[in-house]
Amino acid sequence: MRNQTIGLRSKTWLLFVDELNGFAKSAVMVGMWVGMPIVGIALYFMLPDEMPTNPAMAQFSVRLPASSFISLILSSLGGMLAATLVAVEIVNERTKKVYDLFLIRPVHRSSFMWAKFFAVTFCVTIALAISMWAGVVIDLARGIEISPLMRETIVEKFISGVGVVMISAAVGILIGILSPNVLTAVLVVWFAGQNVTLIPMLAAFISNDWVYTITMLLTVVLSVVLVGVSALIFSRMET
Amino acid sequence: MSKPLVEFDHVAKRYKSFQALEDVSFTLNEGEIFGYIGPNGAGKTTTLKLLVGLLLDFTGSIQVGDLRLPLDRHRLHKMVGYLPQYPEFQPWRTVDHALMTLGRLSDVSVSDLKARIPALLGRFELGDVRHKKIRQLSGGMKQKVGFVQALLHQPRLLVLDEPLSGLDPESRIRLKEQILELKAAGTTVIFSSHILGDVQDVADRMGIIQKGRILKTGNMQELQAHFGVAKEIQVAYSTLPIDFAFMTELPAVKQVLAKEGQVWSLELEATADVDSLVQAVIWGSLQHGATIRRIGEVEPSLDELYKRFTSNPILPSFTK
Repeated sequence: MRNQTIGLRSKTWLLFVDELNGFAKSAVMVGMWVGMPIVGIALYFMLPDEMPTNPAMAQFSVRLPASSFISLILSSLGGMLAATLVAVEIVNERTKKVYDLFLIRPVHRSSFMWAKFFAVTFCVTIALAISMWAGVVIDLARGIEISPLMRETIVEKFISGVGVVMISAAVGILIGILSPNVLTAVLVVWFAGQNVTLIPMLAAFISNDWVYTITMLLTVVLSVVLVGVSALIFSRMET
Repeated sequence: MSKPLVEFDHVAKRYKSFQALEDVSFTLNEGEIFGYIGPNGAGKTTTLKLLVGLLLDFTGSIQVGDLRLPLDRHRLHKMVGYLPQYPEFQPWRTVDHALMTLGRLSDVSVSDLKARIPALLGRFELGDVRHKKIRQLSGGMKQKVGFVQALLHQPRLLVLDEPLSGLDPESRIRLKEQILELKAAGTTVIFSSHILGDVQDVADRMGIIQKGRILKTGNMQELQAHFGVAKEIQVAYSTLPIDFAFMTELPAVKQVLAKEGQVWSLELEATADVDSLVQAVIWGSLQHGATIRRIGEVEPSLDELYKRFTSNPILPSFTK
């Protein structure tokens, strides 16, 4: 027999590349990689140039760096986008029976969930990175010096942003697996699913290194558990 | 006799309050084509989905070779090809891309796929659509691409759910030829269909299912014998005889029926000597001023047998 067995990891990789291909060909990738930075920049320029830091001291104001603003705004927007995107995609493919042709092949069902998780996380993370770079470029153009402390903050915010995207994608997968239709999936993602993203968001506001590390660790573990649970449900699901 | 490749043993499947299958038992021998017939909602798709491991929760036992379902479904998927009733692909894929991915997931090497995909597409006259997006294909084309994906890994067992529905007559003929070629190459095929003529054309054995129960399995002769289907002579006249009474007076003729056009049918007893009766009908017709265009013994079609099965669903012998 000429057919060779491809390992589980290779098949997950194959499906991951395939998912990215899907995002690229269905214009989702371009939409995110171009759209997200544009939204971030647009929102930044809609802000007043100078903002009061304290209502009692309205005279005292600071210029908010674009990199900080964009990283803060887009990490939650990216999370929402990741969760909605993956949940809608799973519900659509499940209800249209697209999976039937995949599930009758020697592939562990969990591979589909992991491939989706990594693909969505990767895509939105790249969009986040592009947006933050755009923020840095705007700051530099406006003459704001990127100090070492600021650079460290940007990196920390980026990492917590990736955490938000990860956990959102994981929640989106679980909601996608359990929802009977797209509308239910979107409503659950928007009104309930986003609460979980508070965990990595905390990291962005707490300056304590330990709390930051533990929060991020918890985010990774929780994401893995959520995808694992989704994979388990999916592997027992009848199509 | 060799061990069957597929064995369904007292299989039952329930969807919440709906009993989709009940006490279904049948076997599939290696290298045969098995036609699965039944009305909508009879349980054909459920049976096939159980066989390919898409449905996991059932009672009874399903065995494919040495593999038991649903436990060994991962190993089963290496040897089974499946065409769903409505094959669906992600619309952003091209035909080639969809087939490449599905083939790779079935452990077929890229070099083999590069040879097999154009060859299979060519066989179904789909060579032109290889680089087209799935969303640009018609329903019939999608059905044929679905058939191609089921063949990519050269499966030992091919499970086809209504493979001929939605195809034009030429494609149906081509697909039936393909099924027969696969059988010649040793592939075991089970397929469901509403088009009984198609089943009769290609199937070695058939199973009739109604309301989740298998009524009968067997080849055409076995189905005929089970129902005591009478032998039949059909006469097509150019000029009709003045009187038909002579037909009913012939020995071993049970019934004479007028069919469409100038065709008459004589239903015979099982022990009737067909050759002598054909001679007698010709002689009698000529004596009564008729001219015969065509005469001969006909076997009841699967449509007629099916009608007999489904019009008597409560007979005890039908419900195993």
